[in-house]
Amino acid sequence: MIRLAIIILFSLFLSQESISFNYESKYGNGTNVNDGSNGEESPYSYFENLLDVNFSYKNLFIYTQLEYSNSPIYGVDRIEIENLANTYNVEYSHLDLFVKYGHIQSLYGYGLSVNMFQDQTTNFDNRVKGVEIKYSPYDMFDIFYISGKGNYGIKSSADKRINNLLFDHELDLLGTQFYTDFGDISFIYSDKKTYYLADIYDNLKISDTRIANDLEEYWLTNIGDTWNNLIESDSEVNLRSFNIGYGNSLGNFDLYLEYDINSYNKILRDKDINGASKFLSIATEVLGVDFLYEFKDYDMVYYMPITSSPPLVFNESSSVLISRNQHSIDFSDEIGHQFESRFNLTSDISFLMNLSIGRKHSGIKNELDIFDENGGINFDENGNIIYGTYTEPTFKDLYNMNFLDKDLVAHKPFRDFYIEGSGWNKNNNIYFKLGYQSHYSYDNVSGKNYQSNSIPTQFVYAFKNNNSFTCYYETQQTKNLSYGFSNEYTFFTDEYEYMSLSYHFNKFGSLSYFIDSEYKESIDKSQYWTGWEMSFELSSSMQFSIFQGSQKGGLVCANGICAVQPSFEDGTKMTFRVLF
Amino acid sequence: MIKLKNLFIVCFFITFLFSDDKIVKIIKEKIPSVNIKDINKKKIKLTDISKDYYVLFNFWNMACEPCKKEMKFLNIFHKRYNEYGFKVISINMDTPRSMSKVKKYVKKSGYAFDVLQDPRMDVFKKMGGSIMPFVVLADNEGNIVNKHIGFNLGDEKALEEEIKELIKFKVDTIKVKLNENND
Repeated sequence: MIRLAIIILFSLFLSQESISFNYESKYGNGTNVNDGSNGEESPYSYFENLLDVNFSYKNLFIYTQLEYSNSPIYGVDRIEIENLANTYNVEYSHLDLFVKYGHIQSLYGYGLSVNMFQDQTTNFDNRVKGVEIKYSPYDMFDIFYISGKGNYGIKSSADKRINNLLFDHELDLLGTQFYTDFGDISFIYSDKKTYYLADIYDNLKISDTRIANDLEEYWLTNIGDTWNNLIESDSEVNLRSFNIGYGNSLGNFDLYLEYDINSYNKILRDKDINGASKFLSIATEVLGVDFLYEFKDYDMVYYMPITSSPPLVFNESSSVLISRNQHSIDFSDEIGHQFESRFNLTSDISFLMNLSIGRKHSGIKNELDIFDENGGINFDENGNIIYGTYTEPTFKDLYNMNFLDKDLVAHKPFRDFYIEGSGWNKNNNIYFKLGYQSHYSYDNVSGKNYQSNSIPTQFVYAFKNNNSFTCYYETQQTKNLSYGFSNEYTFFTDEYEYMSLSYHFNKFGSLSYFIDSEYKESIDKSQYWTGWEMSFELSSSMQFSIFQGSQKGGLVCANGICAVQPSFEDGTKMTFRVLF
Repeated sequence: MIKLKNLFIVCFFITFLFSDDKIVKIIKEKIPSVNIKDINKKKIKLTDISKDYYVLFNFWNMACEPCKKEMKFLNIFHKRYNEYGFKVISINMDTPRSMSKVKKYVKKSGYAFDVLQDPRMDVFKKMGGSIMPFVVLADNEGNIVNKHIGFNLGDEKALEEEIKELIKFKVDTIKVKLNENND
């Protein structure tokens, strides 16, 4: 806190050059309905205040974000002065040198090795607190170094408001980048340490990941006193990674590839194993049509990637309903492809098509396949059962997405197809967008086992008096697959609709009405959430909005990370935002 | 434990007080002097590219629908008022991993203005941004004169009036200087 006070006082002293503030306050008071089986209602309220303060003086820049939250939408309360500083950093740049101290938000290459950022909408923060130095003596050469420590948090279940599984971690990184006529090439070496506290293993092994399966197997082989001794001790996972990236524009082709090879020890064990992440992107244009192909292969299945966040290689939609069933990526175990194409029909009407597919590297152990050719059970030399393995699906299997194909389903595949047309009229006072999405996901364990079709639309009309009317209408039908004891699938169809009507009064604000509805066939029940919002434009950089009603809870996804936003029933929300 | 609720209520009202345009104009906020790359990875100094120009900076990413709507009109303003010493500098905040899509989108949209990259949102934060669409207007001496958040169809008319005011101010300044020289 003393450090923060010094920074602020020092900043005020220097703030003769430039200073800016940004304040945001959010208040909500209503009830929350547990979306689980019990349907219990509980009070739900938040009061979140963020004040960003920017100071700059010549080559020095200081950024602080102060937070008072009682309680925040996500995360822990910040009501004590010791917790006031959410983020701070001091930055100095002069000629070829750049130095930053504080919370480091950094990205090198496409993020296979390092991509650190904070996203408050999903309560994600993988930054380290430390120092970053970058030296660029020539236009064709950079050298950079990062060293710091962080505390990364995740939730043991998606509906929690607070991260309850916390990991201290450290990062040391040294890299260089060359910009040449033959393309840009980068080399990065990093050393990452993740610390696991003794009471975390039981929570980790109940999740649905390869790392959890590995811990479960390790627990089964050490059950009893040995395991009890093991889980009483903290452990450290140390990863060393070497990353190489190359990008070039060759005629009409933009090419980028990145390869990250690493070595790490498993949790509670010392022996190192190898992992790798690969990414390729090729973009081109043929006869006025843009094409993009991307490939990912993230294979470090017994490691929890913290300071990295590689490309998603699937389409992220801004549609309310589509984002609720968006694929949730596992950056340590996923392989997939993305094809995208854009073209303009006229200068004002454009089309987009995207196909993304992906799966895990290997199916979960095949517990139904434990017999040898004579009908006996297979055992290894230690007397453990040898389980069968699933056959790796082909590209065609992934494209077809037949849910009766057990080998395919075991790899937890997804296929996402999206097509969209959007455009303007000649007077630029009408905008429209019409899309269609087909999303198939087979992951029975996590509940993402469905075939979904969605149609998002948007229509905007501007009147001559500069007021405008906006309508979003979206519909979605989801066939949920349930795997029964008789090895047969049954379907239950859910139907969702979302509509928002908004009238914007020029230089005054907007009045909006929202309606969100669902029908669940499995319980033969319909539900509606409706609400009104009035927003006021107090100046060009000051807004106040008030919402009254109910909002459906659901997934909020960004950067491949999804968080469950609690439902909000019969309440009031207020947001105030100003830049000055 | 020190409760800070009251402090924040005070801050809230101070915010109203300070958000008055006259007070804001006392505090000079400058365009940050930073190096930034364009979408073809060419290094540029932000103060160099904006020097002597009345500039509108707009911050956006591919996921921001209102930003893309606003940019259609910014492109028109850039072409319409460029000869009067005005330019739009567009700053994209997608990460490099989306840059292939950004380059294709910019080309397809036929934007006449420069598009720069701010993948770590450094410039965005330095100019006080927190949400998109975010537009910053600066005079030809590098002083930030106004900021806009949000965009609805119809807002472009008021923005164009504001740009015309800036250009008029410049024309007046030139007239004064010419008169001084004649005297």
